[in-house]
Amino acid sequence: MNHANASPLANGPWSVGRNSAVASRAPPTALEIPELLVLILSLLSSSWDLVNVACTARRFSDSALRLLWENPDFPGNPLKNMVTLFPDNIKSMLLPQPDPSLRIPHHAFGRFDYYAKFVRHLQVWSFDPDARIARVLDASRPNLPLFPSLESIHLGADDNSLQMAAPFLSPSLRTVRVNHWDAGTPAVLHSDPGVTKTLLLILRLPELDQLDLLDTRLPSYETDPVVVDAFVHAASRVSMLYSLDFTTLRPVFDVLARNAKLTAVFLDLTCNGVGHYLFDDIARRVRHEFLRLDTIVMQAMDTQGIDLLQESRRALKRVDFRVHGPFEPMLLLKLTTALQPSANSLQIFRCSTSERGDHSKRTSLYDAISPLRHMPHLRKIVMSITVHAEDMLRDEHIAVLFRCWPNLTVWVLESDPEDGTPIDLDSPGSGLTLQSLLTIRRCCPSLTELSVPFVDTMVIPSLTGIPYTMSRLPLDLRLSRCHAHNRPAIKRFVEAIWPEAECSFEDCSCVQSGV
Amino acid sequence: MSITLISKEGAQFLVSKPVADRIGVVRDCAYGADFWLGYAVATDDSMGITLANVTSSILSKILVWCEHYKDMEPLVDGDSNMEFPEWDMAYIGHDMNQILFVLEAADYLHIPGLLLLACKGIADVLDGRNPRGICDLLGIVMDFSHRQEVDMDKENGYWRWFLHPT
Repeated sequence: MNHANASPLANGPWSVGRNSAVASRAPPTALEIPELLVLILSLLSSSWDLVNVACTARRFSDSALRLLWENPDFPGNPLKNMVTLFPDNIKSMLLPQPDPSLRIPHHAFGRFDYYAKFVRHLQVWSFDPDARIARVLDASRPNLPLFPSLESIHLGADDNSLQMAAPFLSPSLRTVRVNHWDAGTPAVLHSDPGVTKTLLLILRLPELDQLDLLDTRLPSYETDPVVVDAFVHAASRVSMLYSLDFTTLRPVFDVLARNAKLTAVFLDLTCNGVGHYLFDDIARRVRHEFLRLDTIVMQAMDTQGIDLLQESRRALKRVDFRVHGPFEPMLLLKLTTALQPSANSLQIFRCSTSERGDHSKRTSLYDAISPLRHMPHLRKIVMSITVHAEDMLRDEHIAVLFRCWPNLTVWVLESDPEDGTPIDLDSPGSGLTLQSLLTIRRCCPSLTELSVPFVDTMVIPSLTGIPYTMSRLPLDLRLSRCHAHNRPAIKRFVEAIWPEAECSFEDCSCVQSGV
Repeated sequence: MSITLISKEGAQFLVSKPVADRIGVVRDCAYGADFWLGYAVATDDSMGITLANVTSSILSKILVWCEHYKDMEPLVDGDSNMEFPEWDMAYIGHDMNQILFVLEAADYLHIPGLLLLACKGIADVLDGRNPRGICDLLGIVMDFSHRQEVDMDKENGYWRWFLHPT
C-alpha cells in the first residue's frame, strides 16, 4: 500500500481536536442521513441512551423515539404503563380500575397519541386492568385506533379478556398471534358472542398477513357459517396461517391451495372430522397446488407426515414435524430421508413428540441425522425424541456432522424432555465428551443455543496448546440427561470457549462436588 | 493485480486486488461498473480510480481496515447486543470527528462492514452521555422550548419508571 501524499484532516467541518465540541451548529452530514442515524441509534447499548438522544434536538427525536417505542418492553399490559402519559387527574381516574362510563376529553390524548403512533409490536396478556382502560379510551374516541401503526400483536387471554380485546386490534395489524387459556378447557374457544365478535374482527383485519392460532382451539366455530366465511376470506390473502382447526376444512383448504401469497401453513393430518379433506387429497394438492409454500408445520400420526413429505416432493425452507405417538431414531431416519428434495433450501428443521418412545428399538442417532448433512443452509435444528444413551452421537461424529452446517445458530437435541425422571448413578452412560463442544464451536461460529444430552462431564479437557478462537456471541448451553458433578469446572471450560455462555444442567440428581 | 486509488488531494495508493475488493465502488469500477453509477472507470491499471470525496488521511485509514479484512468476512449487520472483535473496536477508536469521516467515506465507497463498525463506534461514544453532553459533542443546539424540555425530562421519568417499575 502506498501512502504517498497522505495529508492530515484539515479542511472538513469536523476538524477540531479529539473530544472537543465542534464549531458547526448543524449536525454532521452523516447524521442527516436517516438510514445512518437509525443504524447508529439501533446500536446504542440501552433504552436510556435512546432517551438521551431523543432529548437533544427535534431532528433526532422522532428516530430515537420510534426505536424506543416500536417494540415496548411492557410486561403484558401496555396501557397500565402508558396511562402515565395522560394528565395526572385523568391518570388517577384510569388507575387502578376505570369507571366504565368514564370518557376522556380528546385534548388529553396528546402525549399518549404522540407515543402510541410509534408502537409497532405489542404483547398483551395481562388484561386486568388493560382491557378496561382500553374500553374507556376506545369509547372516548370511537373509530380511532389506540395504536394506529401497530403491525403485530400477541394476545394471551381467557374468554372474558378476549371479549374486550377489540380496542387493541388496529386496522394496520399484519400479524396476530392468540394464546387462549381457560380453566378446564385450556385452549378451546367457546362460541360466546363477545369472543366471536373479536374472532371476526381478527379475521377481517384489512392488512392481515400472518395469523397464528396454534394455541387456540376453535372446533365449535367450524360449523358457524359466518366464521367459516371470515376464515375463507382471511385464508385467501394471508402468507402464513397456523391453526389447529379450519385449515383442512374443505372451503378453507380450497382457498389456501389457490392462495399465491401463502408460504407457511399448519396442517393437522390427524383430523378426520366432517367436512375436512383427508390425507390423500391433502398430499396430492400440496404437491400440485400451494404455489409458494416453503414452510410446513404439521401434526401427524406415525409416518403420515413423512408420507406427505415424500408425496409432495417440495423444496421447503422450514419443516416442523409434530408426532402423535412415539418418536425414535428409526422414524427420524425416515423423516430426514424424506427431506432430500429440500437439500438446497432447508433452513429450519424441528421435530418433536410429547410421548415417550420405546428404548428397545435401536437405531444410531448418527445414521438418523446423516441425511441432514446434505443440507448446508440449515440454521436451526431442534429435535425432541426418544434416544438411548448408547445410540447417542459420539465425538467422532460431531465434526463430520457439524461442519456441514456452517450457518447453524441453534442445535437442540432433547431425549424424552417430558420424562422428568432425574438420572442417578445407575443411569446409562454417555455419548459425547466435553471435547465435542470445542468441535461444535469450530464448525459453527454463529451458534447461540446448544442443548445436548448424554455428555460425559467427568473429564474436563485441557485447552492448552489447542488453537481456537473464543466466540463473542451469547450462548444458551443446556446439558441434559447427564451427570454434572463438578459444575464450576464445567462452566470454566465452557466459558473459555464461549465467555458469554449461560450453562444449565438438567436431570442430574447426584450430589455435586467442587461447590 | 494491483489497483491505484487516488484521493481527493491527488495522493495515489497502490492496493492489491483483495484489498480493493472490500471497497464496493472500486470493485464496480475495476470489474465492470454500471455506467449509470457515474464513477470514473479505469481503462488500465496505471490510470487509477479517483475517489473525489475521500481525503488521503481517511483513505489510508480505510485501507488499513480493508487490508485486515482482505481474507475474512467482517460483520455486516448487528444490533446493540452484538460484540465486535477487539481489533475492530481498537481500530475505530473514540475520536468522533475521525469516526464521522470514516462513516461518510464508508457510505460513499459502499463498504457495509466498515459502515456498521463506524456506526458502532459513534454509538459507543454517545453511550452514557446526557442530552447536553451529546449536543456539545455533536455541536448542535438543543432546539426544544423550555416547556418541551421539561416535558422531555418528564418523559425521561416515564421511561425510568417503565424500565424499572418498582
